[in-house]
Amino acid sequence: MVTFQYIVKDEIGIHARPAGILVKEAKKYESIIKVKKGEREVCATQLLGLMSLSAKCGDEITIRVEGPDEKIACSQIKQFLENNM
Amino acid sequence: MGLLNNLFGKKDEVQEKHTERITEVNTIYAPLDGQAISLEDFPDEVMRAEVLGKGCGIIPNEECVKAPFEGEIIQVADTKHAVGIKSLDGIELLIHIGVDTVEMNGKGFQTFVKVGDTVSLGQKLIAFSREEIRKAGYIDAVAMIITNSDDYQEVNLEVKGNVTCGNRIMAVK
Repeated sequence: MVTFQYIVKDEIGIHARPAGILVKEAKKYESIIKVKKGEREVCATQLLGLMSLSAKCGDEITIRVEGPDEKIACSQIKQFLENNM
Repeated sequence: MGLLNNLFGKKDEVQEKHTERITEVNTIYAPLDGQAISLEDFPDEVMRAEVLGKGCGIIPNEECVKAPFEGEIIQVADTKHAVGIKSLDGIELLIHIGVDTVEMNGKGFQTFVKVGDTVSLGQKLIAFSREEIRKAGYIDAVAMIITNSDDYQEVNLEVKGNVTCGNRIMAVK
């Protein structure tokens, strides 16, 4: 299992559009990818779950990746977040 | 006494079953009056590209979104312009009012539900002002997106053009 923290930089946070592209990205990997904000953790492949975190600019989220391709998935997701949100 | 309780218990269960389902399985009903359009005609490229999932659009003729089936509210945007609802059969539907309206930060929108609420078909979810949306410079088209459309082989739009709130609009298989 690999985890990392990320601070959301997108001005309006993880709303429908960024959540949608994150789901697409997360579905590329075999590993289970979870996103946590505060006490709540959701699957990165579940759009409404991601949106329900209401992660805003400046919020810290924790990404947890577990599975056969966790190392590559983790670094790719990290890069993806930095580029997109 | 035990027998009586049992009897009453069973009776309640039966009644519950009768009231539980007044809608058809795997069916989505129009959440408001308007013109139904396919997603490929929706005025937003992210929706058209089905990034969020398959679905359809409605050009609204009224200003209140109602529940498209019986289910549970699983997401309400802080900005009040979108609501996520899960049906009894497991359809996860995002109803998103307007294009880029997240930027309006709630102005012109009023929500009537919160996460965890159970709703029945036709129950009010969000009221919105088309005038406020226009004034802010956005389009008021409503997107209905099945966010777990990968779970289904088919997502079918059942009607195009005029649709009345509560009519069948989409079905999944």
